[in-house]
Amino acid sequence: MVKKKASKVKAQYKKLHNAWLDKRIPAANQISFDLKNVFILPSRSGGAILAITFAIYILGTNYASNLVLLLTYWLAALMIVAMHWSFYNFYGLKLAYTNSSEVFVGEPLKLTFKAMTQRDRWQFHVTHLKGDVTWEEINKEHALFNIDLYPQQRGEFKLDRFRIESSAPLGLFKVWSLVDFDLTVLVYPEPMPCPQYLHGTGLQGDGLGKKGQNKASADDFSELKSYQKGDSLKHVAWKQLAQGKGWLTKSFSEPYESTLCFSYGLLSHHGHEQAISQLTWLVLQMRQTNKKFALQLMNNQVLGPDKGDEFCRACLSKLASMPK
Amino acid sequence: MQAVQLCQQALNQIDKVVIGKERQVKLALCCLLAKGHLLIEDLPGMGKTTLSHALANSLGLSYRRIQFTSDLLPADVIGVSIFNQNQHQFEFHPGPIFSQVVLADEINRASPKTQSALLEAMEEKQISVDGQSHSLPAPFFVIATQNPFHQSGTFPLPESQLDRFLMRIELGFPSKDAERTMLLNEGNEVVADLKPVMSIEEFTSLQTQVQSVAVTDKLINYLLNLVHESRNNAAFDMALSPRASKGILSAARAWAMLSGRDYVTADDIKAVFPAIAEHRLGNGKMNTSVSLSEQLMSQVEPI
Amino acid sequence: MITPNVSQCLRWLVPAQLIVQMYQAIEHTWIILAFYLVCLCLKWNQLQSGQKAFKRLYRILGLVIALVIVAGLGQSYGYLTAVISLLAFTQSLKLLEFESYRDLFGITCVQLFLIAAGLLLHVELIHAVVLTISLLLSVIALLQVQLVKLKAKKLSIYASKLMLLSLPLALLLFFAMPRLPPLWQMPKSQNAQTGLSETMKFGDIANLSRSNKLAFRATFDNLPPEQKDLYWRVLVHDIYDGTEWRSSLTLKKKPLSAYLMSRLSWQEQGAYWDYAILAEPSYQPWMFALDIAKVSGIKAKMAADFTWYADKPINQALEYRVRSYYEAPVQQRPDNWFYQINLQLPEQGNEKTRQWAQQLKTQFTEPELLIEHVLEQFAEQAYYYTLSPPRLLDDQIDEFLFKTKQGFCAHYASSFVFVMRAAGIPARVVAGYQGGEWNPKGEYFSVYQYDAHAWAEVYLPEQGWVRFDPTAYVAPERIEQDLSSALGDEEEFLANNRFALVKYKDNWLVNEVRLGFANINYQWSKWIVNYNQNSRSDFWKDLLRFDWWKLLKWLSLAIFVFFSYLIYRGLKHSQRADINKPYQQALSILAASGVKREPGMTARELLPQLKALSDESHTVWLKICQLIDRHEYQTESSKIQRKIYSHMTKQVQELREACKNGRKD
Repeated sequence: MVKKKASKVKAQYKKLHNAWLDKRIPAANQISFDLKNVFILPSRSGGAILAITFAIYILGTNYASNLVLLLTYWLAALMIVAMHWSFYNFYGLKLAYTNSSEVFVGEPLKLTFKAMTQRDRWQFHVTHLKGDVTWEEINKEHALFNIDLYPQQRGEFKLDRFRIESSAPLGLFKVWSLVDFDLTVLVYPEPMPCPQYLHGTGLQGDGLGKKGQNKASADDFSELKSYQKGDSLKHVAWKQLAQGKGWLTKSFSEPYESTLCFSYGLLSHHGHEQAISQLTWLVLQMRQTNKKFALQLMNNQVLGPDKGDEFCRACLSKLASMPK
Repeated sequence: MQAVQLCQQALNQIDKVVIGKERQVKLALCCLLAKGHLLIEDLPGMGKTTLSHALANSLGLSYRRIQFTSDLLPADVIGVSIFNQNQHQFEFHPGPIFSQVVLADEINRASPKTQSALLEAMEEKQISVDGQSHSLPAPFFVIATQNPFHQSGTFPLPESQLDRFLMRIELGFPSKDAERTMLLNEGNEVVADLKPVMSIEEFTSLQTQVQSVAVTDKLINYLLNLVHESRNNAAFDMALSPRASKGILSAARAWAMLSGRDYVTADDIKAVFPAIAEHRLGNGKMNTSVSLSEQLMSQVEPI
Repeated sequence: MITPNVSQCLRWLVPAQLIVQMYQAIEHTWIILAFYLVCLCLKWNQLQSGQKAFKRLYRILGLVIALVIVAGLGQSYGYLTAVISLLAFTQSLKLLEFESYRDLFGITCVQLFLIAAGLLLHVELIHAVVLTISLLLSVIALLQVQLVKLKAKKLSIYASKLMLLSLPLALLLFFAMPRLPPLWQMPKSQNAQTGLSETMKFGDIANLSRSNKLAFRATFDNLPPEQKDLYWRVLVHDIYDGTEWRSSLTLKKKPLSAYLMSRLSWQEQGAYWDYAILAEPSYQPWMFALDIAKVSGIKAKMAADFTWYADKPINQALEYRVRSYYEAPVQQRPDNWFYQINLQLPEQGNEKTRQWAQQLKTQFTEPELLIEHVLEQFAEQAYYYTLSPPRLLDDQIDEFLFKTKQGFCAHYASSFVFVMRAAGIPARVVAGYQGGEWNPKGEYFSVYQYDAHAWAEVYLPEQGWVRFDPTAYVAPERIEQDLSSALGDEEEFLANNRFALVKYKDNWLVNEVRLGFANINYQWSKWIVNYNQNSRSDFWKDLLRFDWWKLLKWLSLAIFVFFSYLIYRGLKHSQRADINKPYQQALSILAASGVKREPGMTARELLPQLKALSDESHTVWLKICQLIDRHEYQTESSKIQRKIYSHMTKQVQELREACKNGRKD
């Protein structure tokens, strides 16, 4: 009972704390450290030294030894200067998110941040979840650092507030900030190899019928596209050009290779997540071989047929954000 | 030194398909890193297209080619607005220029109007059609080729437009050895098969790193001496513009980075100087007997 | 959490700890240092063999050993020693287990405490400097853990910067913060008493004169008195038992003392000297002052014989102010007590002297004439002033006066007083210091133990107590100059102390250096060691009547030096362009070897030609190219530029030889 209450209070406190943080250090894709968003307190070791300094002060007072008193004042002044140095090490540093790699479930998500500074800096720690990164030194201009994360689920992954701290130069003070880059990364599903489907599954609703059906002759006209330089002159729609509709190209359905179709519906007997994983693998294969393909998702929604990086990326995003 | 390795990888890869032209390949990459457009002047069949395609592929950039002909219209390059009957409005159909690397083949065959459409796009990094402006993808490079021979029906580029190209290079005939390898290895390395060695982000970060390569006052002095010599010496018809000197400096920085250094030396400037200065000094004409840029460099002492 | 690189840290910690351990070892016992060294060896072995730090069991074992040793020490040396040596042992043990970040802070805490302990007992500037170095090294160790990659030099620069930046603030706190009174009584460590002692035997002062330890310093507010007037009174000896002199105050008869006080009569009138005395710890209560003194600034009492006593023994450097009315006559209403004490002589012995005194008494009716006669005897007869007089046996005064005739000041003063008393004139011996060394840099007198002196005071009915110094008749140089000139070339002065710089004061340079150091030490003890509430108000007063002209003078000098430095740097800067000179030399060498350089060519463009010339010259030229590139096109500091320049000249030499060899081939 008491425990429950305590945890409730804790949760309440956390909520208040977060709200305060959100107000104090609002999420942004770049942060510049200044008086407002940097916290500084003596570290534990700093506290110990402070206590010892006080003890030495008592010793000096009791023996009325000026030199010992001078020593304690010097130590105190040293602490004060060290505090400024610690803060100055943080102050003015700019941190920006640059990019992340494409990531699948089970792979590390590499988030790259850039630190920009006008002068050299000392060591920093970045703590986030299990990731723990140390910069030994930041030189002038800029430095990149990565945070590796292991997202467990496909779909949108939100990067929480993370802590960047430093105890340089003496370890007597701890300077830190909690930064929020307002960052969401789409985590693609984990690919699961299924070479048996490499030749397509066909579309649901057509049976297996459509596979290979596209094998039409070369002059199977499909649509008119705007002319782009480099298109074969053979395919220019001269008729339309004469009509003054401008340069158009007749496009034909792929004459030599059939369009591959992958359907969620036909794989879903493996289970929802597994089907998605298999489709992911298939899309990746298609991207690698640069083949044209169509993807049928739930509710018979069809993407493509098309090929190329951009299309594949669209397919992967769709797969990642499928309902769970 | 990651940057150097990336560049070296790209160079090695391109050198596999453009054989025996290491210097020109390096200059071309240097030009791209310095964010400049490239003009290749040579006879047909010397590998101009191969070079540009290989560059685009290795850097992971999208690539289009436009063959310039005398009847090519500006709209063929930049795109047209077509009336969509279903929606009763004009739809812009982007032309081939909407690509990160555009090979403008035989640019001097097209009419000046078409040429200037392309050159304007090069400068502005965006185009306007029907009052609407469309920005071009970034990074955006034009690699133009032109035939050196004064053929009928060609429109030589005016000097003002030559100035838009950072560099002009000539590939020239390959050496016997290089040609032998080329013949024997035919089909081993195909341009289309080249895999990108870097992502676009890495490439753009390389471009920004180029700007941080260090230069000293000594070097700037050397560069200024060169440029001022071109302006003061009567032997040169045309003087080097401030744009040219800026171009020389950033190209020299890129050259230094490609050579694995983080500072620029006089040798870097001398390496890129002919490619940048020759077409600007020589009024656009090919001057086969004496290289004007060599002449200029011999007038100025590096130290 | 950071795990420190232990061996990297130890590089800084070990010297820091060695310093404080040495201090403890010298102060207390060598076992401390031995224990530390054993622990250090163990730790070293541990690091070499890659073992883990010592287990708890060993640590406890070590602690037990340490405790036993400390308990032993505590018995023989006292409580404070025991505590501090326990800390020193803890430091050694802590070194053994040093492994984690937390250990480092434990070590640092102990280190700080030991530095404080060192400062508690050693207040001289040199010790403060050494202990500051220890502190600096500890700071570097802390930096090292955080800034792993930094080089030793950079770390030292950072640490020094940190300490120097905090110094002004520390000094401000030091001068401005009020001093609290001791919160509770702390145990004192025991120390040997130094300086003049309560009793005086014939050889005592001669022994003291072999020491060159500082006794005290005196700073006069106005014009300082002449050397011969500097009779620093410390103790009055008026009881003689045939072998040694002592003070009647030690009889500890309180009523007597009070009675004597009441019969004193003197006024604070006439001319006076104002001065401050900075006394070194002597662990004795008596104080130093010129006649007739009035001490202020501390708790002290004047005794009936005009000497001053502090409340407590002077256990640490002590500063007090004195005003001396040097012209005031000291009248005392004589009575029985007075005559009883000041005419006291042993029952018997020294018959010869007594006879002589009786004879003098009948010869001279006026005491002044008698005194004059005796002093003339000292001057005229073959009396000899020496630090090492022959040993005297039973009738010391007889033997000295009529036989050996060699003695130090105590001999002359004692005999003189003895003769006076035997002749019925009240007299007493005064022990103190005479003279002092004038330090022109700091404008103060330093009085050393070898300035210890004894003289006599005689009571004349009209004038009161009058000072007579028989030594002045035997060796006038002692009074007008100092001891070393009085002793002449005998090398007796500080004979045991071969390296005492004061022996070489005829050497101008040595003397300047010595006085300079003495002055720094004086300022150190005046402003830092002995800074207290009273001098604090002085400090602010001094600031108000600060010599701004002097500051302006120094400031303009500093600005001049700064600008000269800038100009010097500018010159150095312009020297960089001179790499062209060796380069041109190199080119002419190449031209002689047939390398053709077209105008506008860079160094590197000549490389193919050199390749054809010879491999050796090619490699040399490549180096030259790299040097030129670094010098001209890389942003390097001017220091490195200069290095490159010197490399360049070397390479040009090599090129010359390479080309020569190439031609021979």
